[in-house]
Amino acid sequence: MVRFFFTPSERKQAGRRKLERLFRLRLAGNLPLRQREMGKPTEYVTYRGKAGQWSWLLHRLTGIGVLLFLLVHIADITLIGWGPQVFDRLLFLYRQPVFRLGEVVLVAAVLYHALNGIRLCIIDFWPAATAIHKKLTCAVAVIFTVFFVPTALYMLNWLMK
Amino acid sequence: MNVTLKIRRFNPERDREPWWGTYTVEAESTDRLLDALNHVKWYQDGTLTFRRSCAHGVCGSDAMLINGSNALACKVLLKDLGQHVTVEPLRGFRVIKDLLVDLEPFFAKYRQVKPYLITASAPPANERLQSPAERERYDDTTKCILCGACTTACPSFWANPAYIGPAAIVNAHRFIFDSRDEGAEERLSILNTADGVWRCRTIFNCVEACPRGINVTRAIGEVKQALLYRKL
Repeated sequence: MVRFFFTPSERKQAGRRKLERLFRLRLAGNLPLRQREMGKPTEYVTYRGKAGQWSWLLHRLTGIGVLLFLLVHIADITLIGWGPQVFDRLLFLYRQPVFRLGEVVLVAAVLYHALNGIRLCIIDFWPAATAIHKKLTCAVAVIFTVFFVPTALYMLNWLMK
Repeated sequence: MNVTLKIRRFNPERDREPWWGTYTVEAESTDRLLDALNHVKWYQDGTLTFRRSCAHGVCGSDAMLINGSNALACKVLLKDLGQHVTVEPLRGFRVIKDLLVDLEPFFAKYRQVKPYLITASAPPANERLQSPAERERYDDTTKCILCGACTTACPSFWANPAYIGPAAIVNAHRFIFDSRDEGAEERLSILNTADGVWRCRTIFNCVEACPRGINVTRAIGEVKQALLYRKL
């Protein structure tokens, strides 16, 4: 039988479930446990996976971080449409210590995402490489360190002065 | 040695929320976790529910979340777990009671990939012959015991329970690369959907979790390749 009237709590529950489906969250309390639909966000960190799980999680986080920066970057580049003075006036923002530290984090995120992306491409195109995936992860860590440490030191030179 | 077991308990008929039961068991360090669980059930709390059958790592009944990662309770030794052991049901499935989960959706996905010999040609007078090299091609994926440890260790599956999951892909791989089988096209088209192989993010949790040591990610990778280049 089709119901047309719902109690306020039922309506609230339905609204939460809609939000859950939309944002892949768990808000509706006990219900999803019985009729499981989606994982809790904490599951991604409480499961004790090995290198693969952590490098995947970091890949996601750096990916989202770089995407957010790009959105901000599109916004600041748009200002050039109002002329060079407007654009230059905004640039003082990027000279703030918070932003200069943020730039170092951004470099780390882009570098890691790129190197780990290459690792994933290698595994995707040569499935035999799965046998050495731990070595590949180590290689990503080593190459990352080799490139990132000098870059970070150079970028943070102003801190020493 | 004395081992403290912290077990996630949930009886949907009685409990509103899952709770942790703590039990202390006297055991040998070379005992398996299953022995400790049996000790709890037989001598301390008979209401503890878990699934087990052969108890020798062959039937795949007692996969559970042990100290944060999936394994078979009958294959893990207590000395490798330490004095405090946390045991939870497999993730991503409805808990029927305590450590027992409803694996029906898991087997539904297994059936979806048609895990049986499909042939169109007339059967030969004798056996369907196969060279040792042809048998070797899919040897790794014949080892699967359908315990569910890989699928429930997969972050892609946690996020999207519709994902067909590593176990079903492994069993599809077993037939797709079998020279005697002629159903590769059907299976590949099932795996080429939005919730098929492409949900795999090569996280390797399945490989770490597999009690049979199957290189699951490689098998999934080979299926992806077969789809990409349309050749086996």
